[in-house]
Amino acid sequence: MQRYIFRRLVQMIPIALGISVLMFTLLTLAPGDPVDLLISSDPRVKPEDVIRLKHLYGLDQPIHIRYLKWLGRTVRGDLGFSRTYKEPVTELMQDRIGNSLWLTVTAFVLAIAVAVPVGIFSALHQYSALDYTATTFTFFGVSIPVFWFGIMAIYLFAVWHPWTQIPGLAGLVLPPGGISTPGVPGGLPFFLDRVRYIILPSIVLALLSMATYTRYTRSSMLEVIRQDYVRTARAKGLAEGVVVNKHALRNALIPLVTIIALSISGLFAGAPITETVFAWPGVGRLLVDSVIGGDYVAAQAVLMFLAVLVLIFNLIADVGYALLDPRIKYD
Amino acid sequence: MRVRWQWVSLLLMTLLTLTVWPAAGIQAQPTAGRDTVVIGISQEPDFLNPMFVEMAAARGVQATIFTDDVQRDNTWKQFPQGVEYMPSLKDGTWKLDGEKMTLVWKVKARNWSDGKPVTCGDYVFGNSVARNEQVPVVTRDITNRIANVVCTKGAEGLDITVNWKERYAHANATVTEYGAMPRHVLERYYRDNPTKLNEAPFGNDPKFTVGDGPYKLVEWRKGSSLTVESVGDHPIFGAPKIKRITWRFIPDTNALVANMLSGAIDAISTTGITFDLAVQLDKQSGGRFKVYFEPGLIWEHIDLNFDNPLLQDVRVRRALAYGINREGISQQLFEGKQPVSNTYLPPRHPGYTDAVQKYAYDPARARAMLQEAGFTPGSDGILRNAAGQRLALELNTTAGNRVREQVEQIIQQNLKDIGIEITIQNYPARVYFGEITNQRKYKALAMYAWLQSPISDCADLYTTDSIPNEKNGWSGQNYPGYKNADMDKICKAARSEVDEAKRNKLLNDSAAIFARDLPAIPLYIRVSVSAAKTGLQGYSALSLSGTYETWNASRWFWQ
Repeated sequence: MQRYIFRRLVQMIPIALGISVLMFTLLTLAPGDPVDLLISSDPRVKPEDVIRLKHLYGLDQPIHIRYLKWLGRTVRGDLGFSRTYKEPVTELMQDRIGNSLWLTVTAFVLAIAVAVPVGIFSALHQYSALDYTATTFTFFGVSIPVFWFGIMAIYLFAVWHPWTQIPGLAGLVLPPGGISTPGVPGGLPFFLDRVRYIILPSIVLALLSMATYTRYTRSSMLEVIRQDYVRTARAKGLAEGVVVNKHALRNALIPLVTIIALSISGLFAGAPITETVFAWPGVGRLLVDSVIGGDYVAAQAVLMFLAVLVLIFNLIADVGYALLDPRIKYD
Repeated sequence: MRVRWQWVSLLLMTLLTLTVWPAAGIQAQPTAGRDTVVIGISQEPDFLNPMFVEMAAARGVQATIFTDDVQRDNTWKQFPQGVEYMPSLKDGTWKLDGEKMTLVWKVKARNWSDGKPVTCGDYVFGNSVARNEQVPVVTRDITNRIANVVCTKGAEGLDITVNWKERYAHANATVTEYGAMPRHVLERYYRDNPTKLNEAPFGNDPKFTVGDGPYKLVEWRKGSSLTVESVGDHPIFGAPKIKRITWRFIPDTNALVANMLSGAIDAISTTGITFDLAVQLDKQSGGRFKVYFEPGLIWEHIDLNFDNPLLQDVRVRRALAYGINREGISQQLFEGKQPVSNTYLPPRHPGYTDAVQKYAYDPARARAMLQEAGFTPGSDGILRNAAGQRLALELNTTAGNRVREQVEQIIQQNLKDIGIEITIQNYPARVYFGEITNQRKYKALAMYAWLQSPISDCADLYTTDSIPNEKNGWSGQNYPGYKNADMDKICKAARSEVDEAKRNKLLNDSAAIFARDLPAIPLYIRVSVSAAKTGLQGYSALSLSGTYETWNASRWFWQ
């Protein structure tokens, strides 16, 4: 196993380099560099300024030279300086990753906490009213576009006031976006303020994965409870609880654990659409804004960070799979 | 069972307490108290150091933390803000010496927010930094024209003489390009590494950002919000009634509207929502807030590529203008709030004139002009010239821009009615502005907008020298490739004409030539849209590429 892990780690180096070349080339070859775009948005900027700024930022150099310079800096741990945010990219990413994790982990925990029990119950009571309800819910969850659901949630809980006129419901009005109220002091008030802001985006974000995980749990559980060893467990007189929890559930969760491990890297990537709709300053929004604003230094750093995370968590998923399922061995 | 219900009630009460938020009926009230204004904005400022700012969002914040030498009010009129007077030729404070000039200024006494006085030395420092080619300032257009800046009563004094190398029409609109820069804060970063001055914490970190305006930067939560607070009694602005202004960055425009409707923000910046959303918001306001539609500077038009043989004939260009129902577009899509333009300057621009050739919708006249130009209808209804070439043109614009796509469809139908086939090919903004327009790769018609300013002229847009080509590194903004010796002469003269009346006359002439030759079809002038709660007094939706709604924030108050 150790040799396998070592081999995979070594393999990651050329893969990461390949990814970096691909990303750098794609970002750089996109027509219109950030300085070109300045001229259409700022009447003060003259053509001479464009030429001068391109030279100062090194945008007039050939692509391979720019790549090598970028690689040299990155290897030394210098991710560069964001032109859009006027901040070192490392600092910029630290804040944004923290914000994204606060949102994605909350949504993830919420999704798992609902999806796994519902999926199990749905499988054990197939074709029951709850199974139909859960299946319909997952159908909606997978189908509803997150940007629409986000806006609807804002309108329902933050804007549409008639329902809040009902006595006792006025307090359910939630902030329509943002991460915290400016000026709220630290400590418990700050934490409670943050909690109020996370309710809507985390529910919206959780809905999609909730639906996916419910479907996985249900189908995996359905497959397992029809296996011979479950029938044998029942036949030898074990209590239904023991059959479900000890024999069926453990095995049914193996594919789900793999999917969860693979999606952990996604937690760091944030959720661009949800973050944009709810004005949440996370990594996803940073990436989208950087690409739109032509801030290649920031975009390249975020993409590279996420690519490396995907590689690492793929390895963890493979290793975890082997640990959970003794039939799988890597040599 | 009773015990269980008690727990449920307790849980519900806890949830309700956690989620308490101002309920219905109080949305017209200030969001965060009567001494605070919360503004929703779709962009986050890039930086607050005036030398490196690229975004409009930053300029709105800057107006509160810095004092401008000369500012514009909501009627676009200039007034001295940080200086005692605007130099003029009449009183001798603006002197001409051949092609050179000298302007004599007196700066109003005020302090930086850390208590140090603003001095002439700060102006000299700002100018010398901008002159240094290693410093990546955004533009050096004015700096390059200035020979030197002299402190006539010493570096600590307030008397400044600026000597210009060449005549410049707007020399009395600013002492130097970037005004006073706090030398005592910035100099050490500048000496360390001028090329990295844009990475200094000044303009980014509240601890290192000092200004000379009525407010100071106190908090900047990146990606979330920015707050400025009053510095107290300011010698120029007095003591603002609004003690705190917070900008909340909400990139999704629908979410920005939802924030306004919910009362979570007091105002929407002019760098906020699109025109169509503003119209919808206006209908939902219910007297709680006012939506402002103010004449703006953004000019929508269609460039006509002079490399296309079909468009080299002025009769074809005029027929296109007569054949497009621009008034219909204005009425149908914008309820008449974004008026048809007839020239390249917006109506409030000092050089604007209405006395130009106009092209009211007249399809019969358009058809007659095309016939005169030798076009006859083919079997498919599309016109053909003597060589049998179909009058088929490609129209490009930015993909995903809903309003422009609607305009395109109307144009396509209008022109089909007069026998011109229009094919639509749109590009993402990055490709469109990074390659298609600025390298003149569009085949015939390119629809987009120029962001004008109150001092815009035609020198960059319609002179032969400003046609982009490979030789000049695709610099220049004459994307149609229009050449006219008279226009070249007038535009160059206008930029250096210091007499305002003469300059305006030159610009009037350029507008007449533009309307006669039609290098572009003027479509409409976009309005600046904004919204503010009805109780907020003094707020005006101004968007002047340099001056925004915060130009008079120190005079705002809640009624």
